[in-house]
Amino acid sequence: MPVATSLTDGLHAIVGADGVFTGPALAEYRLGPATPHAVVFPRDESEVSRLLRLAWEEGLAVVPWGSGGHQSLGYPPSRYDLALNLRRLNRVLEYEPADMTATAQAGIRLADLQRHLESGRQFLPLDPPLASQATLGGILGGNLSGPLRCRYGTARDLVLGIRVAHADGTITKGGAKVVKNVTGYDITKLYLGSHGTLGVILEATFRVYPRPPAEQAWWLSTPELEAAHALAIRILGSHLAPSRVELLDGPAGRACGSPAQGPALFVSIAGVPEAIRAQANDLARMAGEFGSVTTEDPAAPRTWAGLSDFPWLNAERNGKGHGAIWRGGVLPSDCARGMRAIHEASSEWADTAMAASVAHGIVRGTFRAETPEALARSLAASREVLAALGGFLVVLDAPAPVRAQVDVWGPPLDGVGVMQRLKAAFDAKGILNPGRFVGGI
Amino acid sequence: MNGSGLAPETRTHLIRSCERIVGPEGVISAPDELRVYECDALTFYHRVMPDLVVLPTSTQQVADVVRLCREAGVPFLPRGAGTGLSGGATPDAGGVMIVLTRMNRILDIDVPSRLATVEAGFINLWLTNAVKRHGLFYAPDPASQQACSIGGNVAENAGGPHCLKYGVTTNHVLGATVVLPDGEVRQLGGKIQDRPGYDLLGVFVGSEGTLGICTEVTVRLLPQPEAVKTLLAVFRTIEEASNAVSGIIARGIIPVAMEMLDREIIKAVEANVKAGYPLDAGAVLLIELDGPRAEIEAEAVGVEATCREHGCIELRVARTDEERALLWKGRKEAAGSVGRITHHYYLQDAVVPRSKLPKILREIGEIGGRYGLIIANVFHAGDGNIHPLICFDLTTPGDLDRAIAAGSEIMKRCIEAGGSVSGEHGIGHEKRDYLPLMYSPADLAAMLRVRAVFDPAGLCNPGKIFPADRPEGHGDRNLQSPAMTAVSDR
Amino acid sequence: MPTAVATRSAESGRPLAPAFDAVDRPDREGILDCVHCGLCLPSCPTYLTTGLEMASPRGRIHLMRAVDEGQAGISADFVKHLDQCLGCLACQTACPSGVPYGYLLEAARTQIERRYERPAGDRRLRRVILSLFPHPERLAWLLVALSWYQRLGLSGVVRNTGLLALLSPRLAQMEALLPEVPSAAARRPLPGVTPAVGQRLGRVGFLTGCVQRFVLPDLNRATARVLAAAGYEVVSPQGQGCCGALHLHSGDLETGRALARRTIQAFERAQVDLVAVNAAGCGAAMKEYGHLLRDDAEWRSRAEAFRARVRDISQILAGVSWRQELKPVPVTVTYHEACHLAHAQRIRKEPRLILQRIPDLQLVELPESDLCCGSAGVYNLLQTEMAGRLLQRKIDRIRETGASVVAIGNVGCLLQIGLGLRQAKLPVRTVHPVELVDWSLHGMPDGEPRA
Repeated sequence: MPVATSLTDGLHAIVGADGVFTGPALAEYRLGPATPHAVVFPRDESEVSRLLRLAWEEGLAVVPWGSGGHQSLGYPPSRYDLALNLRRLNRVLEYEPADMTATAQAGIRLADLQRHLESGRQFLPLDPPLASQATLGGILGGNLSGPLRCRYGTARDLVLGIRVAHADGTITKGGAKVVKNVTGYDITKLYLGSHGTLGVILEATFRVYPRPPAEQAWWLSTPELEAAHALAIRILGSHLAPSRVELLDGPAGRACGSPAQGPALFVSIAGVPEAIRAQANDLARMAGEFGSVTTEDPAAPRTWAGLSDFPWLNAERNGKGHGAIWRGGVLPSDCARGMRAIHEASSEWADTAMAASVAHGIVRGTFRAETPEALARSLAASREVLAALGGFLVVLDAPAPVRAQVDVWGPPLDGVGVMQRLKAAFDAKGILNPGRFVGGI
Repeated sequence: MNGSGLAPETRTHLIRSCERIVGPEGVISAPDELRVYECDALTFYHRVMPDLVVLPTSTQQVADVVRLCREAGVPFLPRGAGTGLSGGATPDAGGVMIVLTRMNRILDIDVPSRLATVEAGFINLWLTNAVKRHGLFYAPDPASQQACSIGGNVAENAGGPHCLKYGVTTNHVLGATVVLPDGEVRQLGGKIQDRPGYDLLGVFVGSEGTLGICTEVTVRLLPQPEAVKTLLAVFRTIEEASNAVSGIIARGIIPVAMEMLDREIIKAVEANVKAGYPLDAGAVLLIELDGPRAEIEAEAVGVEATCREHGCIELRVARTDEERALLWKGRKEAAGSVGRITHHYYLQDAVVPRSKLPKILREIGEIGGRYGLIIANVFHAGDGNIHPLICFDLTTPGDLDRAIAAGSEIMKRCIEAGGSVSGEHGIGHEKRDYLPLMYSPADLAAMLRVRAVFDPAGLCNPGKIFPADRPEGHGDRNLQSPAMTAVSDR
Repeated sequence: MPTAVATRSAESGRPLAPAFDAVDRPDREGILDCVHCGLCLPSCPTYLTTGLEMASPRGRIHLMRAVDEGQAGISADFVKHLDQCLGCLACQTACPSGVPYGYLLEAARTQIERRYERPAGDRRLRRVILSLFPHPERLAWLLVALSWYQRLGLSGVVRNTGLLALLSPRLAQMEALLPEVPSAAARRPLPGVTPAVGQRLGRVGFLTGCVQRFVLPDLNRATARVLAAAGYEVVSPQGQGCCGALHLHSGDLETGRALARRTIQAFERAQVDLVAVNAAGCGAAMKEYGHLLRDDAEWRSRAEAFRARVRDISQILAGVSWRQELKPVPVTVTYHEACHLAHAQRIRKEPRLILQRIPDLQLVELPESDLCCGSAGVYNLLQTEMAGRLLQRKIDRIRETGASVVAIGNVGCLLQIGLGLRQAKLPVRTVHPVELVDWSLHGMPDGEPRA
């Protein structure tokens, strides 16, 4: 699509000619049916501000962009003029190991950030899917998390302060750079998980943690999913301090390298070696009470990475024609019930694989089916069974025909009216990632 | 000082209508009774009586009262136990005070999912007591935990000594039933996590009752640790102690609490409770580790070595629960004990990056010297959350002004050091004029935009947090916000 | 901020009583010790029950301060909220600032009694109760009448028909509180001196009390037996009467002082090493005689000397090494902490200790053990509704323990909780801890439930 010269000039004036892509390069920025007029690569926050100011004045719809790995989330944008790629804002601005805090720009890849924090033997305990590519801004914008949240929580527990560019280009901050702060509203929380619809995250200050001296992981397999789940509840309510506790059904377990065919727990404990040893004994004892076999995984880091990514990887595997990935939530005590109900509700139409972060009741999985209709039916049925448990299901990625049949976000939740009013108050012209979030925000 | 100058007929109408909603025994309107609601735990300069107090017993009643206020255009504010230190639960200029002390039931305890839902008036410590037998506890432990309500904790995003490891209230609240300022009842968050949508709960927690009134709260419970170890490290100087704090963290150890008491506080504590702190010490650090036994044994070795490296002259480990309780008793009663060394004090609350502790403490010492005031320090060193107690005497002319000026200077130094003007006491009425020190007009405008979305009429706890929100001609103009967090006015 | 002093009641236009006068005025320093932190709130039974800050310690102090500073008068509301205070002093246990709430309350109540005109009915009732209870001879009269009434079998009829309640709810309450009236034989006074068993450790004066000596005579006998078994010679001095506790709690400091002097004198004459008390309320009051008579040049030092000798029975027994074998008492016991033991005297370990030493006795903790049962001297007769709500709460907690016996170190609580248990038809027996020790030393009475 040809770009109006005046707009290109305007963009060039802000970010230089090498900071604007048009033409064939735009294909990888396609979202649903829409392709932007241009992709811009600002170098600093003032350029972001000026770009947004321009977009605000011209009424151009802007999609903030990191690595793009999670852009399948949500509805396709209702309007789409510019992709705002933040990859060049990729610096660590402050890092003081003694304060256990760091400040970094949104475009930095998590993997690069972790390398930087290694100098202080610390890390940011976030392990979202596709972590090797994901950028800080994308992780925070999507409030993405992985199995490590069991011990460390999510971005909302880790981010202390934030800098955001608003729709009109104004830059504001929220929170502070200290670990404890109750000055003013905790507005930072609003931007986390807002999918770029309220503002563009420029940088964040977060709490980092000492990297544990050692970590070990074990497969605890049981014949029945329910037994593995009961064991997980037992572990999580005990004095053990596991870093991650994941409940996998048979297919997910096999995909992630479980030594057993059936359901399993994958558990890791981190700390000083003597403490790991002591806890490992207790873990094995508890597992024994539930008739579970305990096997240490010698390649745990790789398994964990695979487990974080598993729905994505699994969806791409050869098999039936169409794949979808999803995430759902239930009570921690309902994980097994939810997984079994999903299996029963969808197995007629699709192959399923699921894993749950039991501590928080987060289930994620993949379906593969012969036809989009079958896939849509299995997603709808699964959503229904989770809703019966008070839970929800969000479709993270699915082919367009499936999206046409299943609302990716699901039915609106309580407070959506307030959210819509917030969106209007922060972005009156609706230029930030318009139409992508719940309630058409 | 009396209320907002409501027209008598409006007041009568409100009283009658509230009586219909909550019953006559739930409405307080006699002046001699309203008087006790003219301040919270901040007593010093801002005292304003509400026009009436209503004590609902259900979310529906709260919603009905809020709707009534909105229709009448009368300001309203929530209050729990009234233990806050920043005047948040004191009216700005009268209006209806909605007191949630009669909503104090446990609604649900879900042991396998480790969740509890309680009404807003439920007291913090009761929760831990109620779930103890299941091997669980509720982590946020503000100093007032024996009295403060969970709803108040949500409003203030309360912290406590043990939040160094476990985090503050916002990290433990999963859901809240709130009555929005338009009287609508909404569920923010919930037992089931990660529902898509903006994190309204996240911004509600810590909004000091300005975005609505929370009536029910769902919180996360944690399993009790296998073991706890409490150590007392004695240092010659507060500087050495501060360096030890950073050293412990740098070693990769996160104690569950690291509390510092300086020489003046030690004096006061020993005069009061006799916790056994050495009187010749420059500072003591109270360090607590919890977790799997083997883990904390290893950490204790590291803590001890670090303290010794930084000049610790004595290190004690509590061997029994009684010894542990005694070491903590000194910390817990520290503020209460300050009465032993001064008649009046004002308690500040600010935060600096942990690595700036030695610098800020030096500066506080200098400021005290310059103003001729004793400033005692007892604080959450692990978080960099300082609580200077500026000692003064109301009967000495000029002492109060000096104390206020010294406090203000400390605030500014904390901001310069990259810190915050409140770590846990909140802004409330007292520190609202300090907000511009930390936030630009644009930063504040974004927050006010949130406020306007929730409360377009500006009736919900007006006059709190934001400087621009202050209605002219209301409130106490005699003392222009010295931004004092708490002043003992004996 | 101070406002103009109201001089007339807003409701009636009548002049308000002016602020406190100088006689027994609440200590201003004590009032100012309260920094309004609120840590006392949930410890206060009336706050816990009502959720009202006027019904809380810091609220009451705030009201006292307003009156003290002349911002408010001694109004009906002020009196209402001070009347509603149980005086349990749980707030003093909770207070980090050491506010002397008990002294403030006593003084404020004195101001009220001297300077506030109560409605006629209220005044009469208070007078009747205060004149009746502390005077053993008048009580004796009432008890004789009651015993006839019970023997005639009327009590059931009267209780059931609610006839008494119709006549006067307070009289009904008073009547209901009393257990079966002991027989005349049981009500015989204790011998003047009970010799020590074996070698004498010391001479202990025993406060026989005004109520318990008639209502719970077995308790006094058991106390004397146990003290003797412990090696003490037990003297019940002639001339002792009421210790004055009820007057002190009710704002009649002058009568309280007179009774204190009489009590001190009686025990001085008896030349005892220690003064043993089995009623927490009395013990607490007697330990405060020094404060009470601090401005009395003649009596100050005598009061101090006396005060230093006063011991709750549990304090004495906790230190005793028994000369005879303690026999098993196989019952499940829970322990209610009387306010005037736990809070006023800070005695918490000793009663549990003496119970734990009894073989086969299983002690289960009572939730909210130190929350007032609503008895509080004559409170249950004056504030029947609040007392009833607190009693109900206490009974619910006792029920939860599953204990068959509840041990209580105070006479008022024994009566109050006994009433609650009877009303709830809960098969739980009330005893004083010293009675359990007596069972262990001298055998359990027949018919006691064993579990």
